[in-house]
Amino acid sequence: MTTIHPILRSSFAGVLLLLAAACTKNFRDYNTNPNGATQQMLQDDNLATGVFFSQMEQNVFPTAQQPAFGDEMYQEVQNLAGDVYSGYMGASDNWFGGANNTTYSMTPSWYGQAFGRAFLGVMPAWLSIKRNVGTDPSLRHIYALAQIIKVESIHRTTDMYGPLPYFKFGSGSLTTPYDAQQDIYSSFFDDLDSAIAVLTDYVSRNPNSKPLANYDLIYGGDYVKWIKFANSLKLRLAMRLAYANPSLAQKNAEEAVGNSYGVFTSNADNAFLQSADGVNIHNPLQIICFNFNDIRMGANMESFLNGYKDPRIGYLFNKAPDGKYHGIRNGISITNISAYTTPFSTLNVASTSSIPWMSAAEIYFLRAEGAVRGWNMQGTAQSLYETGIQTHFTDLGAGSASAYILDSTSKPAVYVDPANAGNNVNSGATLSTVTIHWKEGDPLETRLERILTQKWLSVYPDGQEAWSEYRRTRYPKVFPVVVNNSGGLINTATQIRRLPFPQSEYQSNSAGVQSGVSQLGGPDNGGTKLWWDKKP
Amino acid sequence: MKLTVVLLLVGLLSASARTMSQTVTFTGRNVSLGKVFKAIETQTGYSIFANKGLLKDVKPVTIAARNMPVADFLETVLRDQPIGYEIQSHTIFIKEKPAPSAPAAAAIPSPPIPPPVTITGTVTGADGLPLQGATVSVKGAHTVVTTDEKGRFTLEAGAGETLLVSFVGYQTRTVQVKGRTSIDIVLEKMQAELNEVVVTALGIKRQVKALTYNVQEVDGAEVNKVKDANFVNSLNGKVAGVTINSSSSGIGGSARVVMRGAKSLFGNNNALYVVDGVPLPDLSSTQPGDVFSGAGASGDGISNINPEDIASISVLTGPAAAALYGSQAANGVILITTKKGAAGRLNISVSNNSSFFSPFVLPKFQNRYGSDPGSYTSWGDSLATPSTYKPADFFQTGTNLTNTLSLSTGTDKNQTYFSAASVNATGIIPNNKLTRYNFNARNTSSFLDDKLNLDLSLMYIDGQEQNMLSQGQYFNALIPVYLFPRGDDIRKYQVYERYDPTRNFKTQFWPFGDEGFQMQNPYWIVNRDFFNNDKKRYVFSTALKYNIAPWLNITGRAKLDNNNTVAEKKYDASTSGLFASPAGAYYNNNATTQQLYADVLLNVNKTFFHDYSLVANLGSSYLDTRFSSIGYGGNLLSVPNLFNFANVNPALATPTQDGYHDQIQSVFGSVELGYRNSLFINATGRNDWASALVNTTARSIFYPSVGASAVLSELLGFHSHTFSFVKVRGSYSEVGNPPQRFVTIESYPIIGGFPSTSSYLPATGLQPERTKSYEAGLNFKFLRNTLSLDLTAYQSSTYNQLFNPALAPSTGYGSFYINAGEVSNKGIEAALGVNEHFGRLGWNATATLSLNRNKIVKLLTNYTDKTTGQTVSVDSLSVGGTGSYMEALVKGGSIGDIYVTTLQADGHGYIDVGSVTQSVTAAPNTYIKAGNASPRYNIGFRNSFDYRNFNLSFLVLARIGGVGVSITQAIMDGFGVSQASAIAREQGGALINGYRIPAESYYSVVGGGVAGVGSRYVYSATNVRLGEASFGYNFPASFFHKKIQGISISAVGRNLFMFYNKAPFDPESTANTGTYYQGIDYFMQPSLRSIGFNVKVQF
Repeated sequence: MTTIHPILRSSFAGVLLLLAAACTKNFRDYNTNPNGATQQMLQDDNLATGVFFSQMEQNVFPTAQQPAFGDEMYQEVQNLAGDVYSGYMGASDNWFGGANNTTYSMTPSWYGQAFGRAFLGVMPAWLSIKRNVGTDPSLRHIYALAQIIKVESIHRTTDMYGPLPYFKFGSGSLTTPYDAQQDIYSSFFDDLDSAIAVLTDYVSRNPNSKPLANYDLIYGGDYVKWIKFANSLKLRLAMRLAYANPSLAQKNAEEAVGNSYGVFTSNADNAFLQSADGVNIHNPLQIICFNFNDIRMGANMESFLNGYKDPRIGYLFNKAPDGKYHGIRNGISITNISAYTTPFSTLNVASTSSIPWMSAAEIYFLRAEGAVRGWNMQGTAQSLYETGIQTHFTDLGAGSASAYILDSTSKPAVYVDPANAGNNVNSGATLSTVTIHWKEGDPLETRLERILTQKWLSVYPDGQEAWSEYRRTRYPKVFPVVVNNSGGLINTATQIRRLPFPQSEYQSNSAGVQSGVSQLGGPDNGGTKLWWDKKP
Repeated sequence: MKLTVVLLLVGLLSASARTMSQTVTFTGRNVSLGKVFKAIETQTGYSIFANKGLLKDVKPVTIAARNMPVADFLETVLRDQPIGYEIQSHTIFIKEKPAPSAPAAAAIPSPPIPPPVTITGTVTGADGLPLQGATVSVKGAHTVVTTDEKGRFTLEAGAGETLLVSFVGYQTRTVQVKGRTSIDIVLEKMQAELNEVVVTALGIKRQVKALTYNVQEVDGAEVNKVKDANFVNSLNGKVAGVTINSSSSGIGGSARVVMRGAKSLFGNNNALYVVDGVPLPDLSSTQPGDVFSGAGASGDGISNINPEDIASISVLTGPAAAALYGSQAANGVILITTKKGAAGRLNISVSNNSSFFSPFVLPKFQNRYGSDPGSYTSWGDSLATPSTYKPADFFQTGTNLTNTLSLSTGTDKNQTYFSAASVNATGIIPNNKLTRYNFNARNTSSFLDDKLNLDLSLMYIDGQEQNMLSQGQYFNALIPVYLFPRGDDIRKYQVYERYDPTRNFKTQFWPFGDEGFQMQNPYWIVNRDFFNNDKKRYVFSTALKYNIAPWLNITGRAKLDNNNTVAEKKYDASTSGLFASPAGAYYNNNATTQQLYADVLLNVNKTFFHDYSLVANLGSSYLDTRFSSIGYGGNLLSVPNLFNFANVNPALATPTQDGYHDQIQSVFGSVELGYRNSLFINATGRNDWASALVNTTARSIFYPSVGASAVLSELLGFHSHTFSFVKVRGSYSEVGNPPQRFVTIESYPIIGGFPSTSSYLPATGLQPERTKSYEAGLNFKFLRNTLSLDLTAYQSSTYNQLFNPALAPSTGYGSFYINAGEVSNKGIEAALGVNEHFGRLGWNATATLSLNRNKIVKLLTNYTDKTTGQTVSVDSLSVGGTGSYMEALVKGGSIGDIYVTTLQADGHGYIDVGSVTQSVTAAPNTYIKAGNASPRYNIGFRNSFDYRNFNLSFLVLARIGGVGVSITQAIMDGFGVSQASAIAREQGGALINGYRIPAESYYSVVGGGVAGVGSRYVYSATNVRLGEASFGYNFPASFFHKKIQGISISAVGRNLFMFYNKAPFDPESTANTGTYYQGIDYFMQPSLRSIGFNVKVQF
């Protein structure tokens, strides 16, 4: 009469144990993502203050890899926008039946990506650094560096779109109003000035200290180089306003050049991104050109380099199978892709090639332009121009440029498309006639064209910067598109002036983007000029 | 917590360790009866109850017994005693010895009544499953016994007497004893009987009339009649309130099963699958949500179950039915009861199903206009002779050969079921293959005179999937096939690789390039780019039940489900550079999901005061899920086509690691009170402690439900032949959902070895999502149960939604988590059944109707930002799309609303036509609502006719309402390969504003795909089809002189014919079995029309 009781008892004990032992103390562990670092972990080695520099630097030119994104990101942000609009490179593919960015049928999934890199890649990392630095005066130098990289990133972004949701970024609000490009630019100067002051002060107190050596992929934490970078960037930004606000431009340009650390003067100052500190960076252009088979030398590059008998051509591009250099013109109709991949010149780029941000050569050309405009650039236009050319030759390892500099007859060559004669450029207003050798007596526009053309050659492969300078100055002369699928929104002759705001902003920040459109002062399409795009 | 489970199992197993016998071994001389009884109790586990008064006259006994059955032993010791006994279940009642029969009997001269013999046997249903609680009585006598859990009974009857066997829901049978001592009885189901029992939550069987919510049962045979490799597709149209869309990934793909409308804006909306009372892990793979992905798809966990193992399926469409399963069951439950062995002779059945597949719906192509040389578009001149190119020729006839062997045997105490099945299928796209082997062994046994029941089962599944394609641009051979230039000859490219002297091996031949669609030679794609999934899954489960008393039992269950999937991708050298280096590419990902479930459940089932019944359950469960995956891969560095990690370029490799650990601990209980078996009230409660609730405002989630049901026909006494049965029912329930794991604890993903900022705004103060729902129903049976009508109306409101809206990039985050949003669903489920015989012709028909109206009541309303104090409201949100097609959540709209881009038009609606270009312009940021991807109504109409041994059945499926967007058609138009583009050319252009503009320039704008104009490609998703048909014949055992038990053969077909469909694709096919990315065709693999044969032999 009792045998069932132990069984009943043990069974009930089981139930009760389950009821009582709802022990949830491991739940915190379970619910902590094992695939990421916690805030706690970031306190170790003071990671929180430095570690996000890597993220910022890998998003200025998007080079981070999966799971963040792949080489397609660089292709969409940089290559199928600035790189082709600047005439540097030509697309050897015909995405979406030829209706894509290259033919001015703007592709939403491409033109929105640069926006994301700035606001999902650079700015959150900047904000994290800002928050981690807080009000601690001893960490102001870290924030100063973050400010410089932020300006470097956002000026590229505003040069694509114009107004941006910038000042109110990170307010925690779900919708962010846009700011006018004019205001964004003036904040750049303030931010750079303040960063330069903070870093100058820090360097004077701690001459050999490199607190961010482990995280800075550009200069290994060398603040002196960063001060020069900030000055050089200030000069670049000042020059961008040469037509929109000449006095502000001159003031900032002279300040930058006159700063005690000054601007870039030698290739040792150059800023570029490459593998460092265990971060493995490869050059996406190599993948885009050789794996994707999507990009080749641009027709303009062929025309200038061939026409100038430029010794740099082999350092920048590879010969086509016929032993010559052939570039692809942009905005053409490609029906047979294989006719454009194999017979044209690939880029001379390796997986390990560094990704240039800014070079001493560009700075010399900026100073040359300032000198032409009558600003105090600590040198004559001619000397700065010629030093710029030689500095670029040296950077490439192309030897002496003295003979090249003296060439006063070579002109850009006619362009012949071996696959389709309809794309040839034999003569006309779009084929430049500018020569290399400096002539002080040439008209202002000729001197500007000469400087801008050589700068264009030296800034390669940063097509984004080259496209911005083309829009600002109209130099060098970039061949217009042959096929214009914009439906009349973009004028073939004046070419594309900007990228439309991303679709995601229309979907999730509708009021914000509408404020951006009104500040833009024109419809949100590729034909509307930016604020600084004021050359008559 | 682990300790608890071990304790639990030990506690339950300790009972089984002391296995009791039902025989007695006892030797003694003049021992007291008390000692003898003690020995019986110790040895058999029986309890002996005796009134002390009865024992006062007993004498000591002398006995020597060895392994004597307890009844015989008792008979012997009590032979000379003044007392008798009676055994009921596991209890021996000592009682007065019955008075000797009246001597008068001897006085009547009549043939001698044969002495009663003990008869044992089993009662089973036609499906071989034992029937517990069936009554077996001797006709004209008072002997009545009921069957135990194994369907067994023991009674005494004369050799010439007749037994009456009855069970609720089954036709009563009379069986003549004819001197037998072992009789196995099979009962036929009574059609549309009122006292049906169905399996409900936690595997608990309930009377249908007691249910306060809608439960629909589908017989296992019904999903095997016209078999699909994923049996879930066979449920379509057979249950009301469920929308089933099969994946476009072909044979063995997943199914999207949404019950009573999508409720959660950002959570899972698919039904939960429960096998034998235990929830299954989800095991669904990532679903394509953009224009690129869709290659290398994989079937989910449920799709690899062997349909032959299914005994029955209960579909619980509403949350009330599922309240006992907690958060997992908020979207309804599909309960699967698997087969187990039955006592009796060895039953073997062997079946074969051979199916042949072809594309069901294809877009319409043109072959009148050719292409310019080298161009991939077909905007060339009119061809002198139409091109003979037929895209449909690319498809092959798919086949599926399924062979199943199942075996069932057993004794009273031990039953065994075993099955083995093989699925060998090839899809309509060459090299798409599915191979699956299922093994299932199950043993059920009882001990301690059936007080203790042990159920052990082991399931092993070995599956291989190769190149399952659902849609998308990557590795989709359909894109180059559909768009192939009509002026060219496809045969040139069928030799897809050619010798490359510079590389010294054959490389891909494809002069066209990728055309912006990552196009490759279609024959290369199917022959040289492989996606292989190798799945190994074992499921071990055990259940132990102890019957404490006839009305009280305790059950403990444990189930370990371990699934390992190795997914490999191998791209041969000279695959497009987007995917591989010149040497090729290789990826390998190894993912393991391990789920441990354990529960204990105390069940009470008691009748008292004659009219009242109580069914109560109290239990606790533990669910622990661990997932881990590691992967590595990338472009190959040097040796072409050596697919090995050592050959992967380390600089470009992507190592991946992922993992999580979730745990839910729960207690739950339910009470059902019945009055006169016709009025029932019911309440359930469950409390979940979930690991994902850490850092939320809730420590646990409580789910209550209440309900009532009344059989009016009996209560009000109007039961008649016309109104056989009328029942009303109603219920209310609340279920909840914890937030997504990890989101409440901020973490920084590591990218390239460095932490980077989180992609979502840190979630603070989250609450669990809740769904409140009401349902009311009516169940009618008319005309002696010939006609039945089940009606359910429901309303649910899901609020505190765990909102994860995408943020604009300008916020710095991709998304954020917040409680907001409210979604309501209301609808009607109706099922009408007919069951009639006209002589030898039997007719059985069911019509189901599902109607659901979904409404987004609010999204984010007046959310006050903690950092800024700013008040924000969000009334619309994009949840993904392709550019020209977008799914968006809009306040006042519905989940599944589709928005599309338009053409630029003026204020009067006239489409802008460029004066020079003579073309139209897309307005990429102007979206208009196209409609909703969900149907307005779903109707299923199933008919089955039996005549002698012939059977004919068919199923018509109708879906009314909803829209879909075909980007496939758009891009085909853009390339000039569609019939529409040819017609426009013949008619002199596309008609815009009443004028014709050049077809090519028009279609190059609207047919741009992602950059095109979605509004031009919206199609009604309404369709009516012949969903299933079968015609078969059963050869009875007599045909074979009983050498075999029977053979049934049938011809079957699925998706045979569209009565109505205006879309250029099958609107019921979906690339994404999740919530969003519905109603879009982006080069989806066509759905399959299948025709085949079934043969089943029973030995």
